[in-house]
Amino acid sequence: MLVPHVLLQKDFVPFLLNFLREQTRQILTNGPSTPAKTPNSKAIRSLASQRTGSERRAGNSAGSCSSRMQLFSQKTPASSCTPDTSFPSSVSSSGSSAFPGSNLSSPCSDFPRTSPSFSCSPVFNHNEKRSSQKASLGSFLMTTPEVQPMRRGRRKGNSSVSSIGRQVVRDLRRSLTEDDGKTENTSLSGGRRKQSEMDPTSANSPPDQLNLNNFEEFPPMSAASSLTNKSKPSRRINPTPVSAERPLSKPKMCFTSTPVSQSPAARFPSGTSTKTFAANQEGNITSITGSSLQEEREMLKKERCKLLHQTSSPAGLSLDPSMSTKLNYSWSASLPTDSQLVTCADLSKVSCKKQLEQLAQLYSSCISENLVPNIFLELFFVLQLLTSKGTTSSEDDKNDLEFSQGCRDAVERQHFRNVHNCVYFAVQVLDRQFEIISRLEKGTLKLLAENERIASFSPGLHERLMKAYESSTAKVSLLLPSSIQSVSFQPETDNRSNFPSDRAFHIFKKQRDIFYELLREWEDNHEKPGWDFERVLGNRIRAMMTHFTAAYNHSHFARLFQKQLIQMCKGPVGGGTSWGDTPDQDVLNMLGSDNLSRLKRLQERFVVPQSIRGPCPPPAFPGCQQFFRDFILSAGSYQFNQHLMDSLCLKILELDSLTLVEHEPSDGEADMDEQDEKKRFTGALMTLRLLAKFLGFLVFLPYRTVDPPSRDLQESAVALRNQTLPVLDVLKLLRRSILNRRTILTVPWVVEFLSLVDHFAPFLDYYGRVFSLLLQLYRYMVLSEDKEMSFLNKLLILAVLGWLFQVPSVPEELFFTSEIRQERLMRDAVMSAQALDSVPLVDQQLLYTCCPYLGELRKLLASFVAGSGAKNGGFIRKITPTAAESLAPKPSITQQKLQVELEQAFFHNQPPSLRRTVEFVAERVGSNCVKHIKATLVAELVKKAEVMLQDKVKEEDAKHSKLLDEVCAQLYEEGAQALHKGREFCRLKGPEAVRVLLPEETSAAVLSRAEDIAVGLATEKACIWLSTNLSALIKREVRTTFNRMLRVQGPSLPSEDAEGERRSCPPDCQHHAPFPSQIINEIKDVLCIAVGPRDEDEGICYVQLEGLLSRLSQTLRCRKFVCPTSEQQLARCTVELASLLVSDRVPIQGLKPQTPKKPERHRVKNAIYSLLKSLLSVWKEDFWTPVPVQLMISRKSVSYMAEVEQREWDLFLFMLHGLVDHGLMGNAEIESCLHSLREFLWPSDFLKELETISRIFISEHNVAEPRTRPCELVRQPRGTVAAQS
Amino acid sequence: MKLSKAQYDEIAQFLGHVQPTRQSLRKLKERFPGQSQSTLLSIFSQEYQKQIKRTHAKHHTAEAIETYYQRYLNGVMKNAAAPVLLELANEVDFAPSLMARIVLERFLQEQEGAVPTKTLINSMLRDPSQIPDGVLANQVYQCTVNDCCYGPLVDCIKHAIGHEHEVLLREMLLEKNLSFLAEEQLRAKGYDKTPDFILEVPVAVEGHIIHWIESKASFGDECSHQAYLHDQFWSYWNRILHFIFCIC
Repeated sequence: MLVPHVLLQKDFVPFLLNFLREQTRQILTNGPSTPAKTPNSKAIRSLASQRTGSERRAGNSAGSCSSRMQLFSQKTPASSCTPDTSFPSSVSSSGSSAFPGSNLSSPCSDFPRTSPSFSCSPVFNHNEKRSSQKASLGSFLMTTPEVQPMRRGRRKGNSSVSSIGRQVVRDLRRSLTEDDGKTENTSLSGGRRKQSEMDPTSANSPPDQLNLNNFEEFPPMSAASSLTNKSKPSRRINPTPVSAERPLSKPKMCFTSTPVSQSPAARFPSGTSTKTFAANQEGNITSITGSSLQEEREMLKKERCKLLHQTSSPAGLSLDPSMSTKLNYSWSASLPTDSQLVTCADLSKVSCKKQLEQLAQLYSSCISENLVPNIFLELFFVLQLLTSKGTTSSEDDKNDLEFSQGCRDAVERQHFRNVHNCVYFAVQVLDRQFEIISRLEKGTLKLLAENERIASFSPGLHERLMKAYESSTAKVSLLLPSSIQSVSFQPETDNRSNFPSDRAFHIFKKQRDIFYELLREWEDNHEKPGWDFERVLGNRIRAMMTHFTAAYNHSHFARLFQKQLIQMCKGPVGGGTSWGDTPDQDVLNMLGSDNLSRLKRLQERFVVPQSIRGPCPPPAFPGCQQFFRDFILSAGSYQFNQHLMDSLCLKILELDSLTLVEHEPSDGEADMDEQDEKKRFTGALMTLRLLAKFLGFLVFLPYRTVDPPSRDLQESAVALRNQTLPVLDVLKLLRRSILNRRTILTVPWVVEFLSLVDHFAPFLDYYGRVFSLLLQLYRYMVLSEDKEMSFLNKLLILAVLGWLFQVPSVPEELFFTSEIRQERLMRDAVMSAQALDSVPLVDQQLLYTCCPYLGELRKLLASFVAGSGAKNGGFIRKITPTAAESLAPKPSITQQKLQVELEQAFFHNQPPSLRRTVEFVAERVGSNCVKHIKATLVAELVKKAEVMLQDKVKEEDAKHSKLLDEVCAQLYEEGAQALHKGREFCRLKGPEAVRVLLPEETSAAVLSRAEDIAVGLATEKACIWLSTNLSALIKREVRTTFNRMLRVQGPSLPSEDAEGERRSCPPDCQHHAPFPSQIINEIKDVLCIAVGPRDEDEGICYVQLEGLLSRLSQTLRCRKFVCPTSEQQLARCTVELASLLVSDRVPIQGLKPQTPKKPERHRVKNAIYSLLKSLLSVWKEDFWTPVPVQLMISRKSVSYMAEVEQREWDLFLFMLHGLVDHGLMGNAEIESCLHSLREFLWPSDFLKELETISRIFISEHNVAEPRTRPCELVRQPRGTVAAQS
Repeated sequence: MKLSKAQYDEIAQFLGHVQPTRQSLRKLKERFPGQSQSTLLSIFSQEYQKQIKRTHAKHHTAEAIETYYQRYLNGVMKNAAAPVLLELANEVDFAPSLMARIVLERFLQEQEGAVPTKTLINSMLRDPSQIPDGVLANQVYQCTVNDCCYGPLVDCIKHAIGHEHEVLLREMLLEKNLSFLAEEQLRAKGYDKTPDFILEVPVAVEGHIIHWIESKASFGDECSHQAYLHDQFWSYWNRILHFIFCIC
């Protein structure tokens, strides 16, 4: 594939990516967001800056070229102000921090000394342009008086007024666009469509008008919501800032860098904005009622669009290359998309399909082979294309064409000129990347599956997506960690003996109190506006730190700090921690598990930022992590930092060596244990990532600079720092983890660690090697499901690595230019017992928890639905405010909360072993409970199902699945008692175990309390598992049983006989019969001799044969050792033996001349008769499997007769009659066999004899019903037979 | 049953280059009367299989196949009742069953113009009466019956022996009162790879701790030990630890 072309690849991939970005630039300015353009920030810097320089010189007229230049230059904050990255002054301009690509490195996001208001950058961003903004707003307001009354009129239903209004709109529009004919009769929605078509041009309008589109000025009281208002008034949410903000997925807060610095604002983001723009807006908002306000805004927007269009279109697309505000205006241009109608993408309008397909293929291969720096960034880009809106109208095309004729060389045709092409391309790529897409979380899949563009462009893909969505179980909660936490109780190890002196001990006690005091204060106040960490807490922290006189105290405090950090910030899943101490657990205990998930979803919609921030946000310290980071910064204590690093390193090393003990087979009873193991892994991984992030923060803190320093300083800095040893040998750890196949645990935290590197660190020899190794790993990890590593494990590693490559302080040339040192690690990797990579540990929840930015894909798609909502009715569902009475159970909720707190307090005062014991008992009893239910209740149900299914098995295949569903549905009802039984089980077993495990001396009260808690936790665990998994379990078990039944029923013999085996041994059987294998072997020997070749004198004793047959009978009677295969073989062999006997091919010897008068021939014949008789009886009596006796009359057997010169048909006839007499074959069956024999090619005389025999057989059976013994009848010389014929 | 390395080597030495016929087996029995027939047969079979593995490729070249087929046709033309195929196999030092397979495959290919499926071939070898040509059917049957190392009959015998020994082993475990989980139970529990028996409580045998038992019911020479280790035991080991390699 592409990989071998290393040299080409180096330049080719960035070229391809830039080409695509460049080509789609115009379309995407209308898209819901642009951050995906920043991928190019990773393009080769040297190339970029070269181009930048030269093209600047070339002048501004070169539209497309200059835009590409911008693409390259967008990598730094500077791009937001000026494309020239080499101007440090522009970088430091405060406005730059407002842009998503830039704030990656911006100081205000991650460092506390900037004030909260400072980090609320949208505000700041616009300060610079305040004046122009006002001006445009003023001009804009002038138009409103005209429009306003008309709109009101229309609302009243006065058609004449509304038509006037529409007329005005139309006139205005006509003045803007040439083709009136098209829009003449369009309805209001048609007008909207028009508007959306115009939008691209508005996007390209000069920057001073951009603020008209600004989201802050025009909060998203959009078309979608206004329509909802009309159609479903009951679902309407009043336009309070929060609700208005959320459903429209506006990228309002995307200007702020991180959730941390946003967090005051993020909760009520528009609150801030409203405040800021109060002067402009508040009057309007408050004076008009909610709904009319809505409409006003709509009209305003339309007007504004027209104005914009008016000013921009005559001048063509004035692409000012120095217009670094491109990012800026594209942001604002994206804002009104919700009010637009999406252009209908049409497959038939796609031009240059072939090229697009080739491009898509090329691009897909780059993605599949990990040649792009971040696969999710590319997917985001593709989804942007898929959801792109606008610029499809012919006039735009025309403009575009004219425009392009001037400045574009022929080679670079615009393949992505219109939406149709973009969508076509996007669908092609998605189709090829289906495997990745199908592993995304369910919500994203749903949006993709319901995307009408995909449905119309590729029904096949649509169908597959539908299927993937339906079968997906990957529900993911994107809930961020809640910041409100209770202070954890302090565990062991803090007693006096750990301190050198009483004084030190007391100092530490004091420090701990102060620390928690600070923490509580932070918790209570940090979200209040105007609260500043440094100002309020800074001095107190430093005062506390001065108490650390002894090194001992530093280490103690560092340990406390770290423990508290882990406890509070481990992450939303809380995996691995035991019951009751995760933040969510409080909530869970309050609400019960039913309501919890609903609450979570609701909370998620409120709390999780819906803004699209692009798939590569900068490293951040969200939630409580903020406190710890700010604490470190404010304390500014070298000693403390050192001790903390020591402590972090130790903990990281400890966690990194996690082993999963009980990794057992994938289903069956190991379910629960496996889940526990997964939880443990998740917990370890999240903790590692957290600690590594803080370690990285500390390690690189001294070198951290606000702006990327100039590269001149690099050499000396690197030379200086190359001498020091790394604090934690991540390279060694990485290598080891690759060797031991534990990358799934190690890489994510190493990435967190490295994400905080300063700008020079990647150039150090040591970290250069680390990055190179990671890069190699990234390339190596081609996505596919294989034995060595499960798909989602790989996906997680790729996602975090891809993210790392986009972190601003990681040099952009790293990905494309650095030489990949071929370490042979991957191939040398060994399968060790501690290997984790092969274990499917990652699920979508973990993936999205580690990489919340993957949720951007979903938001992007969701915003598209919101935007196109008016057309297809696909609104984002509104949150329905619930009535007051639903809050009735409130007292019990508080009670429950109190209960939880009481439990915490209870454990607090007891030795830690008590808590461990209770948790252990709860865990084991819960697990045992599930096993017990499986073994009893589920097993019973399955048996029941078996009975129910028994009769219906024979029905057609098609009905099977329906049948199964029906039966399962009946069983589910009974399955419901599992919960009851589970509770009973826990109540019985829990206390027993606690009693045995706790010390004898435990007081009765403590004991009974501990028992209660253990029972409660165990019950909860078991019930949660049962309620979520029981139906699936029943279904699976029933299906397995059913499949077994089908198999049994299918081919003739199996398990009934196998079952019967043991039953059917005669009661007094000693199991001393010869083994079947022995008998087969002996029969084989006989056959060998019979078939030949054999020596002259070779033969088989009659006695031996007789004995063999009697032993055969014994063997078959004792069923102990018989298996179906051997029995079938015995049947086949004996039939063969019979055929050979019938045709007299067995050289029987040792016949005693009992009746000397009879001739030899006669004696032999009698012997054969007797052998055949015993064979017939064995077949009839002793075989359990059907004996293929019809083979006796096969051509092969009969041909034995044909070869004999002296044919003896009487034996054959005897056999035929014997078969009938023993009920082994029917008359008709034999007749038809005989008949079909004639079809073969025989010597003519033989054929005649055959016919005669058939006739004799048939006549005998027809005539002589109580007949004489057949052998007597037939025993006549051959001559007679021949004569008769 | 234990067999010293020296004894084993002696037998292997004797086997050298023999044809897998009952005549050879008879000679073997005469030479080593102390050994049971099954032991001898097992060793014979393994040694012969090694030999065949070495030469397998050379019998499957297009030229070789064509030569064999033509020789078969000529032979049968002269005398259809003569053991043409069997003698041919012995002459070129190849297992008769495998020779029969080659010729049958070639024959079907010629008749039907396409390469026949493996299932069809196997089914015809198992039941030669399905072979559309009567002469060939007899020839093939003669080969499979006379082959004591390859062919459906031998396979079946091996399978039967395996089953019988598993039953015996179960018997012995029950007798010794050792609690165990058998293969079916393990499968029901969802084990993907299962040995014959897992001991619920491990036992010590001659100072080694035994967790599970796999009955192979064949002679365990070094080579097969290696192969089994590779194919099965490591995958068990990853799951269950110690095992006993039970060979009867």
